[in-house]
Amino acid sequence: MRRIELLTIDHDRKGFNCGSEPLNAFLNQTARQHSDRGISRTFVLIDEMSEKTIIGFFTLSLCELKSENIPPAEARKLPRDVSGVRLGRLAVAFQFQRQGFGMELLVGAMQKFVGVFQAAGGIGLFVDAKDSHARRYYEQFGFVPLSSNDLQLFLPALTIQRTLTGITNP
Amino acid sequence: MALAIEEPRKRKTNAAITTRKVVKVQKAAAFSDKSSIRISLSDARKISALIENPPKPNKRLKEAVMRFKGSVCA
Repeated sequence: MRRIELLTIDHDRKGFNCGSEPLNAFLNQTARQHSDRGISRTFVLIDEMSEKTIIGFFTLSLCELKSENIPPAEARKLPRDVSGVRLGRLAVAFQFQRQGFGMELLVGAMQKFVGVFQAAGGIGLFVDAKDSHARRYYEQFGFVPLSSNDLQLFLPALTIQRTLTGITNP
Repeated sequence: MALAIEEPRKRKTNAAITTRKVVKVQKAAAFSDKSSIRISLSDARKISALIENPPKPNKRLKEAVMRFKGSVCA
């Protein structure tokens, strides 16, 4: 059985290699600092048989949506400043790629989002795809790309909540 | 008798080490951590429509959740 847990000093960060140097460097040098300062939270997927080995990770942070040009009549539906959660990074270690662990991380991120949504609200989950290949990956699961930046995608809170009905929230 | 002259070993200076660290930090920050997302009017309308009429989870997403339930401790 696998588990998703907050990144700690006990996880083998140096042994993680997803093939992307910026993502490896983030996990190694920045993720825990950001977590300690409340900038973002990084969660890792581990196997209970090998608890230090990081299969993959994702990073969540709070975000504020700013839309300055909304006409007053439409601002009732979507206020100018609303909050959501941002999935900024998601990566799977090279040796575990193409085995479906990315899906588990994505659902894990949604599960964490539901916890935030139930406690404090939020319109949905925003994803930063690193390239068009990653964008197509998220689109498979129903994420909708924004027209001003198609590497930024969105899935509404209620869709996520309905999807995860039955999974215990953190 | 000829003396073998060793080339001086290249040593990493503090400046070189600092530069390497800065490059690593820049790479790590390559992905955005901005807390705000600026959107256009058309995106605001699109998001608003999605919130009002949230799409049902598609087949792929349902499959992902089923897999999650079967293999990951909640």
